Amino acid sequence: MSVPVQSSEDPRRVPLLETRGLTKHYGLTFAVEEVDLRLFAGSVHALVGENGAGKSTLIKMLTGLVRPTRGEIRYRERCVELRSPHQAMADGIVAVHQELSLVETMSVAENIWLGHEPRTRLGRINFGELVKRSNALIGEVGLEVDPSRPVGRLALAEKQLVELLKALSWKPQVLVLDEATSSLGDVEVGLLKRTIGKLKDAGCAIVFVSHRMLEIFQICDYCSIMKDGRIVHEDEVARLDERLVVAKMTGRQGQHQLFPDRAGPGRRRGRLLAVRNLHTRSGLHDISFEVRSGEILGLGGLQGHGQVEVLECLYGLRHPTAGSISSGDVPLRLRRPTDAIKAGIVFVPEDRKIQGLFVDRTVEENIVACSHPMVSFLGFLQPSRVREVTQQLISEMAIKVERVSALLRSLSGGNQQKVALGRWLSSRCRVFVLVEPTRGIDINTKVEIYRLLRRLADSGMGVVLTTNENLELVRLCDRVIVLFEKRVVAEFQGDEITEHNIVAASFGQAQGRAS
Amino acid sequence: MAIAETAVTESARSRAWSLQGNLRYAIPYLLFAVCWFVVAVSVPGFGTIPHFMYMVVFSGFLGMVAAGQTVVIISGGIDLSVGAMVTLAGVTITQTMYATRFGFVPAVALAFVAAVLLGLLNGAGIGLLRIPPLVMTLASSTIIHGIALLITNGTPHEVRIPSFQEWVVKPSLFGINGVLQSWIVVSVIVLLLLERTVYGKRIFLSGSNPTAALYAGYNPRRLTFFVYIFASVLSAGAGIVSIAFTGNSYLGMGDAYQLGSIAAVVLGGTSILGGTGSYWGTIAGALLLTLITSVLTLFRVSGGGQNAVEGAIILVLMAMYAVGTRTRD
Amino acid sequence: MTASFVRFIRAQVPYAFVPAVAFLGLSIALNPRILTLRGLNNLSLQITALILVTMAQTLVVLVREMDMSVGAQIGLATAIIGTATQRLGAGSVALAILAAVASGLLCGAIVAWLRIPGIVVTLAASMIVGGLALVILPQSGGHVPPFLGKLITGRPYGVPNTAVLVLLVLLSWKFLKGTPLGHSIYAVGGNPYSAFASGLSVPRAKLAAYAGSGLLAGIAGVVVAGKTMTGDALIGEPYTLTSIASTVLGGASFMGGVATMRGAAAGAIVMAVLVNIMFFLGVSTMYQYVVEGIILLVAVIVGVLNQFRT
Repeated sequence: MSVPVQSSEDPRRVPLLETRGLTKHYGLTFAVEEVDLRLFAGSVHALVGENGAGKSTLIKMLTGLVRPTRGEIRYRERCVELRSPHQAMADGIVAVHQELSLVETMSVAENIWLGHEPRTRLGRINFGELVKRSNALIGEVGLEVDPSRPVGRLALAEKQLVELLKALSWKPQVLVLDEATSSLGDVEVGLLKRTIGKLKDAGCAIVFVSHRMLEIFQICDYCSIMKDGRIVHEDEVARLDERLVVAKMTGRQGQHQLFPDRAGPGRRRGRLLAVRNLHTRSGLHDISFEVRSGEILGLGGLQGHGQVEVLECLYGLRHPTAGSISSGDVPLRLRRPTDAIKAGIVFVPEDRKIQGLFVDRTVEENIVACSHPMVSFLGFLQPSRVREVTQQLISEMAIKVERVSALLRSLSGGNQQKVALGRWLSSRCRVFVLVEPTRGIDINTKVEIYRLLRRLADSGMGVVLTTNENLELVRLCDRVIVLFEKRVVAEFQGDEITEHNIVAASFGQAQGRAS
Repeated sequence: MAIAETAVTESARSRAWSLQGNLRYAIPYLLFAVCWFVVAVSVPGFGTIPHFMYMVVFSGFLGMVAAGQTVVIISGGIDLSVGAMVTLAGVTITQTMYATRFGFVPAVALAFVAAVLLGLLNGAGIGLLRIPPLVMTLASSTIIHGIALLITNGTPHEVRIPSFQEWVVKPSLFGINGVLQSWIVVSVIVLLLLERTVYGKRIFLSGSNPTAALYAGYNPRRLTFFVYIFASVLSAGAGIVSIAFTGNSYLGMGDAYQLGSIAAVVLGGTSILGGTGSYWGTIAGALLLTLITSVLTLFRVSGGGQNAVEGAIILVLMAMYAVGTRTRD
Repeated sequence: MTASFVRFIRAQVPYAFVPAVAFLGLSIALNPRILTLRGLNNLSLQITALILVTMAQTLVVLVREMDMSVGAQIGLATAIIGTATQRLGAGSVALAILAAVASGLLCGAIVAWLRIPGIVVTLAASMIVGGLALVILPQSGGHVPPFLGKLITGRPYGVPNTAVLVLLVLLSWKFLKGTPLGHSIYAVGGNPYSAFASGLSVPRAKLAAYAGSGLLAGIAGVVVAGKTMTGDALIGEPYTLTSIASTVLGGASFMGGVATMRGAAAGAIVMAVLVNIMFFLGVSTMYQYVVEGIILLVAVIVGVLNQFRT
């Protein structure tokens, strides 16, 4: 399907990079379907879409990491086959990803020029020239960093900019910025914008993938919206507005259909956990709050300000140096997850592939991984009980799986997350702790998970979660606590929970009661 | 990043499962059958049932040591001290009975106590101090070797335990002797543990993803202690049965079992990386290895040559397993 | 000024330097004869093989692998020299080194392209190589070319030839470290994905590391042959374990990408001199095994703790 680009430019202008009917499928799943994308020199093209819409697969094809199943890519008016990321980079198509891939033990300069270092006449690497050229690049971007410093010693935002420098060193004609601003602070974002401006002037085509509407409207010229593997809308940014973009991304007109209604204020909310004056070696300072039954509690604030650490304390993964966590009036000794589970607290971690699930084991094994006592007798597993519990969960949560003996990694992200969550359902838990519960999953599964969390809370459990998406805090949670620099700075209830209040508190501003 | 997983750090464990599944563990049995047939047909005296039984009995010692090794490897580790433990157990029995008035049973108890201590040491280093298993067990094996040397003062002794030795050697139950009976008991225990119990399942899961095991509420430290103590105890058992079989101990008696146990596990199709495997395969691996050794001895190949051939076979089989289960990416 | 000087020292000088110097001092205190030219030469003779084999192990640890066959390679080298000298004369030395390199290349190729972990591959290789060595030379003995003995134990102008050898290797590494291949070894060890995405060849780096390890082990074997003037297939056995201890002491990280050859040398000196000291203190050989094992444990614990600190 080809969506005509309503451009005020000359329609005969030739794109620098173009895809025609680009398609990628894995088995029966279509990740990207019939995408026609046109990138012009000297412009910034936004690519937006929900997680699972196909953005990353499209990027992977553009940068040579994945081979398309069908369709063609035309670069500089010629049809090209990108066989490896290195080949793409050498040709001038470079990407900066959100996940860092730097060699932490090497210096900034060595990382920037990795794979294409300047050589001396003897064939060795010219380290002096390496530092000189790095300084030139660093100066152009406006960063302040010592090129001989080992990357491991840099702050996260600085490392992200080193990734940018790395991309720039390959003299890109097409630069893909894939969520590259997520770890950047205001200063660094400013430097990035300046660099983007310079690249535009030099005739580079830039692809900007981001969730941040504000940046998209500030930086980009065109915008393509993806949903379910296709481009569903494409236009100049000037002709778009946020509501339209979100509507096209989610396919829903209103946002409130995404979320179930919050619990009414009148319900009885017993106290399940009392956290008092928690301090940790990592900097948490005097954290106090309560977890109540029937309630979804959200921890908000900027990323990295202590939210995950607080939740880790609840599960025994982190040991506070002072303070207490009590159930009823009894202080709990949470030395390791087993203690937390015994106290009725369960945990769904951030990274399901590494922390949450056993991707190389079967779906069945994963589903019962946290309910062994329930499917065993005197220490021996009962295969019939295992099958029972597995089938029950699969139908309850509508998990799409061919065979229960398939490896977990064969499931989609959304279904994997359902397993990560659902495996705790058969245990007798009272507090459900989740870190970024809807990260990297498609919109439909998100809705199902929101409804599940609401049901859990309504049945008397206490749900505590932290999320990057303020929308989830606003629409899903009954109460929101905001952390700033590892301290609790605000608590909002009911109608007080607004995006404005949360964002203000996230930046440390005094708790003001706005409508 | 999914890219990293498919491109460079692709999980070898997923390779181990693709295409072959449980059939993988039937391959070593097939190999054993084929090899045995070939040799039985070409070498006179080889194809007889008594000789076959003799070979199976000999595999028993290796099989018992390899049982512990299988569990350790599935849990994600490796134990390079099993051979030393076999020696220490044997030497403890002979020296204790020779130098003191203690009888057989207290000596056995002492040997098992030593095994538990070694398992605790390994478990502490690996589980608590996070020392890589290879290095930790290498170090503890040196210490154990040294202790064995100290106990014997260089010259081990003979021992006579008539009733035990008789049980070990004579076919008493359905025509099988004590060695085989012990191996069967060990096999049943290990197979039940790995295939049927919750604990065994957790061992697999911990080997597959130790972080996720922690988050799921398993106790990784206890598991670590368990598997290494398990391996040491089984090795000690093998050592005790071994000295009953031969009548004496010597300082190198456990050496062959060290690399042999790893070889049997790898030949049996268990992945060296952990998280997946089966003792069924190891049993076949032990049989296969013993067959190879006896064939080589038959052809008067020296000890060195035997090592070389065994090493080569391991390499070839590992290569075959690796090539045969590549992911399609 | 002094702050940057201190930083420079900290960057250039490995942690192991301190205990190395301390133990050397202790050695000298126990046996002042070391301070003579002859004494120095003897000391250098004793520790050179371990230094070389530690460097071999360090090279492989740099790419996140291990080499369990270095000891066997030493044995094979001396066995080849012992048996081939009669027919090939000095050429046996070249053959010995070639054999070790070939073993390294084979292991490296299997690890690099079949993606089987190096630990297991080299364990199997150690069986093959060790077995071959025993087949070639079942009993220790054989002939070693006299020039080798003179070369290894010689000290023209007072400086031990073995010390010169170590220095040459260190200098060569300094040069090779800066070549694209040498650099890629560090990159591949530090972050294989990043290296791959930048176009570096991960298999080639691993192959080079194992080949280099074979070369160094082969040279170590030649040194041992020259020192003992016999061939001995089993003489290399204790070196494998000790090389791991020295590598860890030298500051190498099992996560890859972090190690220096200077550190390797310092770590080896610590281990070798320690054994020397034990000998001088009259610790009987019976206890030496136990002590060695404990030292390895301590070395590794120190290494692991160090990793957590960085």
